[in-house]
Amino acid sequence: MNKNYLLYLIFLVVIGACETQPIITPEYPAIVNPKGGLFILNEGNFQFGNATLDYYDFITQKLATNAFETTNNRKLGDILQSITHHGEKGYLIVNNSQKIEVINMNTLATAATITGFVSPRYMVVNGFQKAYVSEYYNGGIKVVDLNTNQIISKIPIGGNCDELLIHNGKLYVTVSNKKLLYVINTQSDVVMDSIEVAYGPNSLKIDKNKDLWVLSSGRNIIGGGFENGALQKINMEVDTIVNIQYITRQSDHGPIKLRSNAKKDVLYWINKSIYKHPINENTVSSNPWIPSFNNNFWALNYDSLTDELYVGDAIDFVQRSTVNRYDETATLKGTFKAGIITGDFYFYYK
Amino acid sequence: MKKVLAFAGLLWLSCMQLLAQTLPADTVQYLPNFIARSQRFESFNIGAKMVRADSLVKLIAQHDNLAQLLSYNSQVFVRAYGPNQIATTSFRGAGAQHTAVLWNGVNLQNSLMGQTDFSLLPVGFIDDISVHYGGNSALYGAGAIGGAVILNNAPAFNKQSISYQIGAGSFGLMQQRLTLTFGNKKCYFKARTYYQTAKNNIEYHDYTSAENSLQKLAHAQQKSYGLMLESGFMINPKQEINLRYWLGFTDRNIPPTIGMAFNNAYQIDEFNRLGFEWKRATNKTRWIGRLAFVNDYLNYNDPTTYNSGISFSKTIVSELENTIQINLKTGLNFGINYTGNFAQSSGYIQNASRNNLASFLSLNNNWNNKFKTTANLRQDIVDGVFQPYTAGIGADYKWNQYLNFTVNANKSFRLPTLNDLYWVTGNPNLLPEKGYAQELGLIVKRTFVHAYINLQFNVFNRQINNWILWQPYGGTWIPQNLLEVWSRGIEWNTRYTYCYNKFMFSLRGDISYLLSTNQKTNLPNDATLGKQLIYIPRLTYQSWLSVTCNNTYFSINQTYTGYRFTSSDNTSFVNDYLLLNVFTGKSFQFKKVKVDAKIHINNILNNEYQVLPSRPMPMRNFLFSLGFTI
Repeated sequence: MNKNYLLYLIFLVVIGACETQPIITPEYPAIVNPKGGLFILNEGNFQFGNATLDYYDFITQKLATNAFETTNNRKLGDILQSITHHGEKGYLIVNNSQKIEVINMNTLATAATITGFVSPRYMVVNGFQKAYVSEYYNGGIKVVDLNTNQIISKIPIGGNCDELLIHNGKLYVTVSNKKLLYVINTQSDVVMDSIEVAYGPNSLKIDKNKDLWVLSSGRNIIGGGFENGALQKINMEVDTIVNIQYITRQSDHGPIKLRSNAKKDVLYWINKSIYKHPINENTVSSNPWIPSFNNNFWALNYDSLTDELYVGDAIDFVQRSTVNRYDETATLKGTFKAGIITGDFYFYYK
Repeated sequence: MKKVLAFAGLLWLSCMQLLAQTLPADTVQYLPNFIARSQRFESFNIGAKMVRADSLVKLIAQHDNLAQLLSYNSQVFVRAYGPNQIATTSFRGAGAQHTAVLWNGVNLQNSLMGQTDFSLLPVGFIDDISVHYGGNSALYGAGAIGGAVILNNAPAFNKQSISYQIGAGSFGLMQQRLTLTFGNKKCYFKARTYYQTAKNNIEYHDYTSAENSLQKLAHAQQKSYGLMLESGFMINPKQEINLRYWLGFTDRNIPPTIGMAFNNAYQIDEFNRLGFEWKRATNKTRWIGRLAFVNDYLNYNDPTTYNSGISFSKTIVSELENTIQINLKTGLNFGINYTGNFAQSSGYIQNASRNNLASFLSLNNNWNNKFKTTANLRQDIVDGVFQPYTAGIGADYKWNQYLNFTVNANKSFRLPTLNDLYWVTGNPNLLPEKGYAQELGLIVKRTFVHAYINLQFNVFNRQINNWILWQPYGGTWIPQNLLEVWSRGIEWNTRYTYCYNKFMFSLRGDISYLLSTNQKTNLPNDATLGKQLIYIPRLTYQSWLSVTCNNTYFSINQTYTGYRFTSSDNTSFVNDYLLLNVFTGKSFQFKKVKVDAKIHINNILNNEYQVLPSRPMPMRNFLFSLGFTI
């Protein structure tokens, strides 16, 4: 019996050593081509620390999965929210890691880490060395010196600051838990105006006529209630709304992620399904352009080189997303897999 | 003095005493006289696997919480969110909400969340801990699809003692415990209290930073205290009453996960539990009446994100059961249970309540000395609506003096939690989850002059339908009866005990391999079909080597947990880990005072590991404790 027990113990040890872990390799080797390509931002799950960056090369048509970690031998962090590029440098805003990773846009190698944020969401660059970063919690804008990679000042704004846009010496700040779009003078860094919009402004785009379009989700978190979303056109000369189209919410998040085509005369957004709106039309169509069949569309952007629309489906938010490419007639051109919770695409043309 | 020693239950006083105490733990389910056991959970549970924590295990874990005890000592997978942070359980590949926790017969599962945080339950407050695998709602009530953890307090008639313990450990752990017991043959009063503080500033590598530096976990401090008062009165030789009150308070800071710069969130848990029990036993029949009030308060607050939630949950349980020995071969148990849940939460539009009335019936048959069977049946009526009936059957066949075959099958169910139903985005149309479980067992037992061996091999299979999952559905997060989860696996448990003079050697090896996969989806592009559920390891094993002699013990424990997937399509995972723990202790008699000293070293290999992704766990750490008992 003792001998048997010894054998059994050996069996225990052996079986422990034998369990091989699955090796999850990228589908394609990690190649970063200097000719430019597509940055795929995968948010990852809140507090899982599994945000990833995928890189899709236009020339080789190859996808490097988890390219940040492959290049830099470390994980990126928690919730990759957005990317901004300035010259050769890329700025990865890692929301719940409360930091911005500065990378070389061609090699993806890290150059610096900017810390000191509470909940960074988006960044825009003004001139050569100054950047504005929106803070979702602890509301406001942090001003960053891009030479020293240090936060140099703070512009206080109450509320969850979201997408930003700079035009003609003015910084436009969406506040997604309010009915306000703030306008900041980039000379003085002082709030000079606020424009009342529908509840939950979250994203903005400038069209070919230099009009500003603001998308509101209608998601009233504080009030616990839900309102209609809206698409607003703003004249930036006088900063007033010239047109407002109300949009019925189709999901919890409502209308989000306003994007435009290369000519800047067609707008797209997600409201459960994907919607399309040519800027010269008077009313917003209630018919989806790409309908959701229980899809959880979470990422959207437009490739100006190929005139294709990239749409990410986060599925159950706990598995790798599916990315579909559509042409201008909404015909599916291709499909590939990206990381967990693909949140945005960034086309880097050289 | 003898009374004191007996009370303390420290059976490592002598080799033979430990052996004597260890033996029944493994043979409990085969005691012929079912009425001898105090609860129906054991006596009407034939054919299902049940393991009771032996005295050495309880002694070693005396300073720990139940989550730690279960993770080293059972095949229940404990999902720990960090040192002294929330810890939930998974039985045989089931979810955290599929574990029933019965404290002296009263279910402690939180009605809002359906799960129990085992880090809030101190081992020192419980006298008898057993783990019932396989679940069986007909016996344990709604919610017990995966399994049940049975916690009992023993009456302290004829016991008197005063005991004080102080423990200090790594990461700022300080714990003090005081126990007072005064009992005569007519009545008893017992009070237990503890106070614990810990910094939990464990070290970990921040692998998301360029420096990959070793840093200390910030904002993880914890303070907790508890009080348990017990009193009992023997009305006459046939009747006794017991009254128990349990207060628990824990205030925890929630640390940042790896990659986060900081976290300001904290959580306060407070509970009050009052239980009254009446027993009347004669030779052939035994009545038990229970009445309990359970009050849970939870406050989570994150000042940075303004995410906060406060919830109050009140539960009333009343139960009356009767066990009758109809004849030498047949025993019967029946009863009724009323459970009322009343909840208030900042996430609800209005207060929620639920009234559950249940009747249950169990039958035991001892066909001959070799063959025993059991059958359980239960019907729940919730807010006037008949729920699916639940049933269980089991059998035990004694092949020869060494070998037993067991079989058990049951149909179980779990009600949606109050959060599932009444949360702002909840779904009032949810159906209960249904579970169908079967298991087969093979048990080999053999006693030698100086040794004892027990091998148990189990195969199980379980299907859970209507599994409730919160999932985005075209961008809206709602709970739905979504999944069909198929779990199956094998378990092997080995015990070997050898006595030589004053020495007792014992070896334990437990191994489990299971698959728990999702079989259904309604989402396009979904790659989860047939894939293992996240956070459920396929392979786990534990082994123990213990030597006791006179008043000394020395134990080595090895716990291995296989990798766990972190994505539902099984494309990413957290690494497996192996922990090696060493426990040693000794007791001295110093005039009238018994002094216990202990040194425990956890994770002696200093492995850096995570149970859940990005949540670091302690590397090598120590615990020293001193106890005084008179």
